[in-house]
Amino acid sequence: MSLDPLTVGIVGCGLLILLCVLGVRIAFSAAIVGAFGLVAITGWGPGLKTAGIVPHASVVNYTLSVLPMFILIGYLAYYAGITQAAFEAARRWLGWLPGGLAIATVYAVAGFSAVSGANTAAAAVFAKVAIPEMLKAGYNKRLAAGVVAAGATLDSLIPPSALLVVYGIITEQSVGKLLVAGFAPGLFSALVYTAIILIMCWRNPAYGKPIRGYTWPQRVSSLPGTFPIVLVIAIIFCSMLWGWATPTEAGALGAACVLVIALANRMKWPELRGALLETAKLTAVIFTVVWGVLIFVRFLGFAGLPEQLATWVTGLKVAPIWILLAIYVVYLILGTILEGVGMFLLTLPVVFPVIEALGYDPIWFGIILVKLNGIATLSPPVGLVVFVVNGVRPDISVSDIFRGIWPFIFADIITIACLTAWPEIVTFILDQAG
Amino acid sequence: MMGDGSAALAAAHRYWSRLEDGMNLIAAAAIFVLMFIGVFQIVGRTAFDTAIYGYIDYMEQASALFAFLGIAYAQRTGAHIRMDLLLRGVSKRFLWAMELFAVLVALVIVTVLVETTFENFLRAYQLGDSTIDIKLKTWPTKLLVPFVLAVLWLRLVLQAADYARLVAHPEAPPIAVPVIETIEVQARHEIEEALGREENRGREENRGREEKRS
Repeated sequence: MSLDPLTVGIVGCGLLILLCVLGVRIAFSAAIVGAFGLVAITGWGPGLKTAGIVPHASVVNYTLSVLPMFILIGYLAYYAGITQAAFEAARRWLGWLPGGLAIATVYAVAGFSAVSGANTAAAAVFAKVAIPEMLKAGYNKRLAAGVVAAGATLDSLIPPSALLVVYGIITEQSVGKLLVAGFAPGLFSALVYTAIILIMCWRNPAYGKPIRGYTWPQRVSSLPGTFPIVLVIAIIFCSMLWGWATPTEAGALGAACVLVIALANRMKWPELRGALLETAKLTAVIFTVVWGVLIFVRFLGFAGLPEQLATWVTGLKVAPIWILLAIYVVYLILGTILEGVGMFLLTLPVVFPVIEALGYDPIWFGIILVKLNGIATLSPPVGLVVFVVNGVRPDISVSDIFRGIWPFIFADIITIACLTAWPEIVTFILDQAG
Repeated sequence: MMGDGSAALAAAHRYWSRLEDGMNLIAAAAIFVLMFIGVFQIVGRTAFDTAIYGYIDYMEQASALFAFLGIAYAQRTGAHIRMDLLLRGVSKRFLWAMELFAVLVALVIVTVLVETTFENFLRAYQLGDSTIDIKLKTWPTKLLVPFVLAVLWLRLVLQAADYARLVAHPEAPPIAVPVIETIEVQARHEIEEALGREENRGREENRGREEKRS
């Protein structure tokens, strides 16, 4: 008895989920199901031959070489001396607002998190730098801890973003467009956080008082400290917007600039070597998932599952917005238990054709997914960022930090709602650039 | 525990780790060189209106170095992405048994891929397959894939042997395998890494200031 390809595809998806849940590494789960799925549909010889072609064919690709550059920027950023300087500048410029220190923290942590590409590291550093300052100024401890954890999750929208590159790879969308499109929603998210903090501190001034007394010369003198963050974001963003360079070239230039700044900050050879080795490891991890999943994608293609699913979904007598909202919920749940890169690579081969069939903009959807992943990163049961903040500040309990992030999760939901209602927030810069 | 193969496993783990470290180092060097090439390409194009001959082809073939060479190193250090939520908080023997299962699944697919990727190399070698622009031969990077997967294969064998030993003796110390961390321990490691770098920075900056004063 032979099964039809569609049934093999459905069984394959079930097996993949089972293997992942049992703890098999995603790359190997996807590769084994994909390879034997290809065998089941096309026979031993052709199936294994296809599986053997994919690893080399899929990753020996110029577009993918941007990833190690972005990862390298992140590891070098630690040595560029930007954390304290970024917080100081944000404090001097924004401290006068109600809840000013918390607002300053949003922008400083988001900037460092974007450049370093690691929300947990950003949360750890700013829990040490910003929380003591806020508590000393009498800020509510839940607000102080919540703003650090939440601000750190803005990393994936603002360029350079490795997660947006992964989305671009798997959905075959322009990485340059995605990097440009992420900037405005990243800024928009920070503005919504600002609004939430302002409302909280306006309703209850004891939450966080304004910090006044900085003169204009003091403010201006703090700006050079933010130079590395502004430089990296500007290089990537402007290169992509005006087509000056490919994403890899822009990433290389950004990494070289951060390297020069880090060397000027007395980075030593063992630190540079360590940063390069960590970059190589993380690069291998992402590329392995990419080729593993692409074997699975090849199998899904032979099974015809994505097309069938897209046809079925578009035939449903339900408004597309409800399907979209259901997809949001699935990603919010998945994101709490699965790391972003793995989640994107595992789900997008099936979900993306549905989104295209429903007529949604692929670039816009990528930004939405990255934002949803940011919310999920904060949420229980895992919420690693929250545990990191608690690890640095054991005097603020995990439950207090989880309570502290609720206003920001609410802010993120408002952001998602706005981005869904007005997709132009995502696409207007691209439209302007033509 | 000596005499049950632990010593041999530890020695094999140690020697294989050196090879994996060396391969990851080559990948790191490739990334570093790639950064300079990218900068040269931009500077050359904008300032001198010239480009590196065969830039895309070279970059594509070189990307095989950092795409594949760190794979066994990442497996050794437990870095490959997985969903381990259900494995936290279970009994040690059950955990080791599940880890053994996960490694054996990986071993099956890597065994298959060592052979099929080698055939892919052979086809490229026999047909003289080359890149589009400057006709670079593709077989060297295609040969790299089965080689790297073979290194990974032996790492998986070592890990399977260690997990099998741990299933038999759940309280024995792990030799050749990474250990799953609780969320709290994982968070602590993230903090140590991030703050360790920051504190080193702070110390360096203070030392610099003191040197300037003196």
